Amino acid sequence: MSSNLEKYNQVFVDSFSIGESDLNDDLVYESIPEWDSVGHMGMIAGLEDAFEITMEMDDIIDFESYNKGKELLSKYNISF
Amino acid sequence: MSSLFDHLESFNDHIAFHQFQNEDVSYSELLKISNKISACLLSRETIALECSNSKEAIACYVACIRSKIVPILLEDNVEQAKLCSYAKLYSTRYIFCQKESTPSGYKKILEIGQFSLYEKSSLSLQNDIHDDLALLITTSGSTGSPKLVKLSYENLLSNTQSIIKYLAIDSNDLPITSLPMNYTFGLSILNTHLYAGSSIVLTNASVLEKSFWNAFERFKPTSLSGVPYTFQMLERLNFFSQEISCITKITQAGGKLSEDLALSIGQKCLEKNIDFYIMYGQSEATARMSYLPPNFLLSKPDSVGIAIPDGMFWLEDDDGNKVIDVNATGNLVYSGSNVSMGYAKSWRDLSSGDQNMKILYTGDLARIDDEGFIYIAGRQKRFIKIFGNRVNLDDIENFLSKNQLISAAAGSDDHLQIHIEDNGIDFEIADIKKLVSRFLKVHPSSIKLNIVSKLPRNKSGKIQYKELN
Repeated sequence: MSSNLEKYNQVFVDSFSIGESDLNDDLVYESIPEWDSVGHMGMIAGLEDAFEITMEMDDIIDFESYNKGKELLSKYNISF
Repeated sequence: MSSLFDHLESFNDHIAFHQFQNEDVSYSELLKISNKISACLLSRETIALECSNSKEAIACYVACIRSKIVPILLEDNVEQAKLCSYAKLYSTRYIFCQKESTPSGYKKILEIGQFSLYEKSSLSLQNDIHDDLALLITTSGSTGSPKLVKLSYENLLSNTQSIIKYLAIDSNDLPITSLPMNYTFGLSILNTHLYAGSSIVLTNASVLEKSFWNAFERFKPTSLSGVPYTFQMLERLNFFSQEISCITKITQAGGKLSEDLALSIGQKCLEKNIDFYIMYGQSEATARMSYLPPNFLLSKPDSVGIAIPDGMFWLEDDDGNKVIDVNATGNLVYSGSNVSMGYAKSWRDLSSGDQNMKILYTGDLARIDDEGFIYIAGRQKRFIKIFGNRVNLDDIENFLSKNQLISAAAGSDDHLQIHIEDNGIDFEIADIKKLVSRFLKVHPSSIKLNIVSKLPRNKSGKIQYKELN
């Protein structure tokens, strides 16, 4: 059973074709070409599958960075 | 003939633009900026115009139409190299852009907000531009093809008036700009609402961004527009379950909406009393050619509707004979005053007049039912649409061949499939995907790659696309 952080990181790595080392404070919406509106929807779908949740509209829109996402997922009882 | 924006003075102090982070702009303020720009420009010259949904870029566009300067509409944040290559090809005396660095050979003559107007006074096209030519627009979003569609003043006026008629647009409409203005659908939203004296909510943000919804909540737009992908996002965001009572009209174009999505959105719009219009068009027809009246949405969700006012459709077989049997498939042909003058590949093509005689061979295959509704059945031409933008499949093959890869590009809208011949060159699939995605500026997830030992070809060596998959 992998930890929540591992699952979370894996979704980012898979959705944006990036390495673990790219997962940091600087990873924000549109900071890399892969994280555009299409990548965003794919990443959200990936998180929903991985954590078996359905995210609200406001949270999908507020999800502006790698770090902010962790904060938002706490609403769905996912802690890191 | 009067031009599109000759009457804007009459809207006076009415608000033209609402912006979340800036003050409202009235029509008279818009004209003040526009006149300031016009004063620096000579008519019948070309200008490369970087289009953002901002008062400055729109004021420059309005100045061009009113003072008869021919703009080439280029995307927001266009790379300097691409901007300059269009400037060179089309010998543009002027460039209006947000760039920090002055394009080589040009001199800055005006600064407005984030934008600068540059001039290269040694260039002049005055005797080489046809009187009817109003603007130049790209055919395929982002690949930087030099080929542009030539639109006339009559094209713009005619399509604007037709759209206003069937969408019943007036000065009480309040759209939000969810599309860029260098994209023909985005431009038509701008043209129609400025012409009608409406107020427009300006934003460059997509529906996935907070700033879009901040503007939405504050200004409560009455209409919203999008390409099929916009509606996939809106569905996923559960948009139709939110508080959206301000919205009375939604328009969709830029590719075929799946029947499931059309029905699902159609049903929700019906419950909420929103008129939902599915529309069809091309840059070559200025913007719109057909629309599906909302009351037919649930009974004909796979139709693109009927011709716009003053337009008409018919079908032809490959020999050019009219197809008259109901529901038979043929090549879709359109006629109307919005059919473009033709294409240009450089400034040398700007002196010729209308080459199409108001008739457009759409390149789409279609059938027409007993009530005259059009159903698109496929394409004759080798292109697909990805997120609303046309992508020429041959361009992709040419691009890959420059990178020593032999390929066959195929697929359907939003799903590009590239078959690559295994020629022993060591290439990672992910790298090829990245290469193509950067070239087309589309997300890698919409590209599928397939390595084959040999591509199916006929005796003369032509790729047999039907045998792929």
